[in-house]
Amino acid sequence: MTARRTLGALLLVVALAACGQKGKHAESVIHRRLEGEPKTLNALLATTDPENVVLALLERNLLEYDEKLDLVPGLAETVEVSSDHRTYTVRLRPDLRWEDGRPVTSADVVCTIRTLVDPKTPALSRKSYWDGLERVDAVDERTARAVFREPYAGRIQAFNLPLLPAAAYQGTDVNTNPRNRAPLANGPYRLGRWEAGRTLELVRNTQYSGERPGPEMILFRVVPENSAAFQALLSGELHEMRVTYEQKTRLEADASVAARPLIFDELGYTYLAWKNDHPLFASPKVRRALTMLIDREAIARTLYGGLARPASGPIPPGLWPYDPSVAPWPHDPKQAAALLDEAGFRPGPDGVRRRGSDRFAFTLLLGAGSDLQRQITEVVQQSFRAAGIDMAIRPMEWAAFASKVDAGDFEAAILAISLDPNPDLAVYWHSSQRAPNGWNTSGYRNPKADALMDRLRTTFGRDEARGLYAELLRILHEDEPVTFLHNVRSRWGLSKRLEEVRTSPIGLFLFWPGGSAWRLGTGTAPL
Amino acid sequence: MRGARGSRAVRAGLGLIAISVLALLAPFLARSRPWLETARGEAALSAPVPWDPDAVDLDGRLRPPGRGHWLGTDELGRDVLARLLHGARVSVGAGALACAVALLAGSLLGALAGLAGGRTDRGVLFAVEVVQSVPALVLVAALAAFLPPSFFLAALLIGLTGWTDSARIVRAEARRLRSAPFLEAARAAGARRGRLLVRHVLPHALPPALATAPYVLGAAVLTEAGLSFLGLGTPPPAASWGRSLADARDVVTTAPWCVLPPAIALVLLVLSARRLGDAFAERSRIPSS
Amino acid sequence: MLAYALRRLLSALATLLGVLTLVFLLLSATPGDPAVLAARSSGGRPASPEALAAFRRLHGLDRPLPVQYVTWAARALRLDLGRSFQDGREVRERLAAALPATLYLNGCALLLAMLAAVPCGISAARRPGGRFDRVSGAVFDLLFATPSFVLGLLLLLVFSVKLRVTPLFSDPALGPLGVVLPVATLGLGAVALMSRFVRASVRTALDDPAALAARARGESGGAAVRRALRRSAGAFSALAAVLVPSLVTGSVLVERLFSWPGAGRLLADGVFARDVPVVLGLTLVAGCAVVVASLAGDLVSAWLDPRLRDVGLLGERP
Repeated sequence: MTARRTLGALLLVVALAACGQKGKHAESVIHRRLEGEPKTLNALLATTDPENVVLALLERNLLEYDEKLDLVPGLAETVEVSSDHRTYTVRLRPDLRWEDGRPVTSADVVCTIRTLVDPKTPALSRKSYWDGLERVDAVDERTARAVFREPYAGRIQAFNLPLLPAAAYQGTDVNTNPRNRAPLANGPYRLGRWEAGRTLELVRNTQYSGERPGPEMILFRVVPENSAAFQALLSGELHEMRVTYEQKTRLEADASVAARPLIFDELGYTYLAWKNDHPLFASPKVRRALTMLIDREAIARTLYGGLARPASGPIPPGLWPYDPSVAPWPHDPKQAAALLDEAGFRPGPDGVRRRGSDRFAFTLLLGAGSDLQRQITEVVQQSFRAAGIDMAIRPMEWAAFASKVDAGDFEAAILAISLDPNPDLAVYWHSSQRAPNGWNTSGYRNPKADALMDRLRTTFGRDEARGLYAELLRILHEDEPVTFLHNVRSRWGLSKRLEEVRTSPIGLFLFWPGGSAWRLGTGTAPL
Repeated sequence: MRGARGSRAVRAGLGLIAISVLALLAPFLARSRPWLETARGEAALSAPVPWDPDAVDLDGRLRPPGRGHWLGTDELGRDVLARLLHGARVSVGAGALACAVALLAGSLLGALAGLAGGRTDRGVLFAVEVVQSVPALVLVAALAAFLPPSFFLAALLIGLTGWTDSARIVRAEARRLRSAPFLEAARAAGARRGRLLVRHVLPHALPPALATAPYVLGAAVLTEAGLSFLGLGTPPPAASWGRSLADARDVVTTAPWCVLPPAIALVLLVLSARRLGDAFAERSRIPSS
Repeated sequence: MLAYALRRLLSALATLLGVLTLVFLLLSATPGDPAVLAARSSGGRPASPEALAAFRRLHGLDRPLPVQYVTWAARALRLDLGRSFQDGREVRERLAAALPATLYLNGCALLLAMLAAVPCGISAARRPGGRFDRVSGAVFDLLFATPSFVLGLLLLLVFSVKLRVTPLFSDPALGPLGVVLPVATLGLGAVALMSRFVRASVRTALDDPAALAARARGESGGAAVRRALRRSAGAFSALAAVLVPSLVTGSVLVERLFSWPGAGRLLADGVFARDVPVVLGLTLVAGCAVVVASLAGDLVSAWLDPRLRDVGLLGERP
């Protein structure tokens, strides 16, 4: 009798355990949110967040950024650099396959690089790293060699590069290739069903030779409206999303909901761009005065709920050249008034400052899309008005706004920038990059700064580079070409069931392992 | 009979009149500068709502209604009631303008088309269909790129597109009336086209079109809210009901005092406009006896 | 009748041409280079000159405007609507994916609005100034004046979050409950306008001398209403024609709120990216719908109400 009962109990336990297992497998689907629809799944042409986030699970890079932003091997076993810093030799891992079973070879590497540098390909930030490529060839099955005309200190970042399958892309027009919507994966997941506009399913890639991911499926859902997505997060139907400050507070306050907040630092900053060659903004003293009129601390404390801090310059804390000794200009309206008086702008009869007959009046362009940005411009408008500066705000639809800003056709604009791990400031501040050639939107020009940035291009030793950066940052601080507003901390809401979530200065997904390490537990495990 | 109808119209219009008066007086009713100051510069008599609509107060943001701020403060610490009053000027004023333009132009064109038939009819119909088929967003983007966004942009948009609705409605009525005996009689008596149009056709054809008037008015404010939602609309710091509605979208549940006042004000506006419209429609109806 | 219909058909084609030309001109004149917009990345960084040139070459943007337009029109006749600037996909494909969803949503909303509006309008017309008239008027005004994003959000909070009877992400595959919220949001907003319109039309028709004469002869209330409805046929079809364009381009805000992948969103994305082929494609469909509805409306009302077939009052033939 006892034996029967023990056996029965044992069977029961086994049965229960089996049920539990089955339950877990059926449940191992992570539900993720996309704010918009991916337009393409071609890893070279992808430009927007929804695209990059999905592709991060489908395609590996030759070299990957890890959590600390160091470059580590990905598809490439090694990338060797010649002593003159002009030749790079890529050696692929031996066991790589595309999802259709074909091996990943150097032919894929060569095809990808050649497609990238082709003038017809509109791939963007990646392209700049490959400027000056002389030639790229396959040395053998697993090795490719690229030779550049000039050495460049940031060149190694070029190898944070995904691959296109040569078999599908050789000889075709990369812009219209149908594989752009049905990509071949070489990463932990491959594309399953894609219901345009609604959902995107990723399933485990059986040909992937790396570590098997936990969830058997990742379901991306397109949810453009924040409030709807948040409700889904609270009920557990969505497992992740970016949250606003108010939503984060709700997550902290209510312990019964299915999600919790996650705060971390990401590389980027917000700023007010002043057109440097505009008569009102030509003098660094005036620009400094404008910065000092804005109470960035108060904005950080109230509008950002403490999740931001005033930015001191173009290098945020988190990038190695950051210099903590350069402090942001303080909020000092009296000093600002003195500076403005010095520059010749004195209060006129209508309360607005003027120099001769020129009133200190201008228009700030505001692009649609960020309520927070709009609120900040309204606060800044009031602060300026109290000091005798008449700033009008012009809200613009994003396309019109982007066109004007890129063309340099504006007086002032509010902008945000998210940086990649390359700290090369020349891209944004070198005089050769002024509109319409590049991204120096404010048109800043300082020959001394230019010289430093040129030297940094070929300075490979970090200690030497740090010294140069310190000098450069000091110059930029004195000149204040734009008003650096804030380094904003990222706010996310995550399901309590998610485990192995790691953060990096470039977000949750664009480094290795990023989202592919996530696992779905039962909900009680702490982070 | 006429007298009773007349007073009903007046009563119905009271709401609209009240809103308009408040809107006109907003700069006096809501401002931080006191009405009377003592010799020493202190406030002897403050305005009933002693807040400027633009005064930002970051540390006092999203305060619920209470002493000092009767309707609370918004996302930047500005007084909700002050913004409501000042916003009325923009919203009601331009909305009324849009409404009037759309109705007048539409009704006249529609009546003309319905009565005349033939080429005139086809011409007006062509214009109506072309304007109706152009997606509103295309017009918005085009207008907003050239004109600085303001409430008048929304009003212009409504005016340019809204006339088609009343044109169609009035045209249909006019067509129906074309062969009515009383019109034949008037024509036989030598009445000219214009007189036929205005004195005989419009009174019959207008009521259905007038029925849409309050909604055109409401639509103007809602369109401006939609524009603000999309990032266009009245530029800061100007207050308008549509702007207040759109800006408060994220705090609908946490700070309803930001959304409810402009929403209720809009409902009252539409309600009183509708009752006024109904009363006028009754009045202009030719007595059956 | 046939000659009339043929002539209307010709003018319909003229209208379509007019609309497409106008939209093309408007969109092309609006500042915003589609090449620049398509190539921009999330980080806020513009594209290289060669990439822009390549994009322009691919989509024919380097040719003069009239040539671009004529090329598009010629292709459109063959039902080839070109390729979207945003992702290079055929416009036909994108429309086929988005239109059914929007037509379904707006069609249901319109039906809901009519089902609610017609009986309410008639009841209100029979007893103007009565309690039902006043109460329904106030309720409908409330629904109308609430912005769609507020109404929709409230419905979502009540039915999907608190009561959990409807899903958070609307999907027709989930049956009627899966679409009821966006349909209700759109429909309830339109009910006010429609019911007041019905009320006004029926009132006018009921006050007509002929109707009064019939009542004097002892005609029942129901028959009077039916007669009034027939007389208002012209006005009703005008109303339908008025509401038809919204069937196609939909409501961007409601689609956004309920994650509904429809033509409204497609249009918004297209306009904001200056994606001329997509916008022209949608306009073509909307224009056809308007024209067809207008034509059908006129024909139906002419059939229902013979008086409308007559010669114009001022001596011109229709």
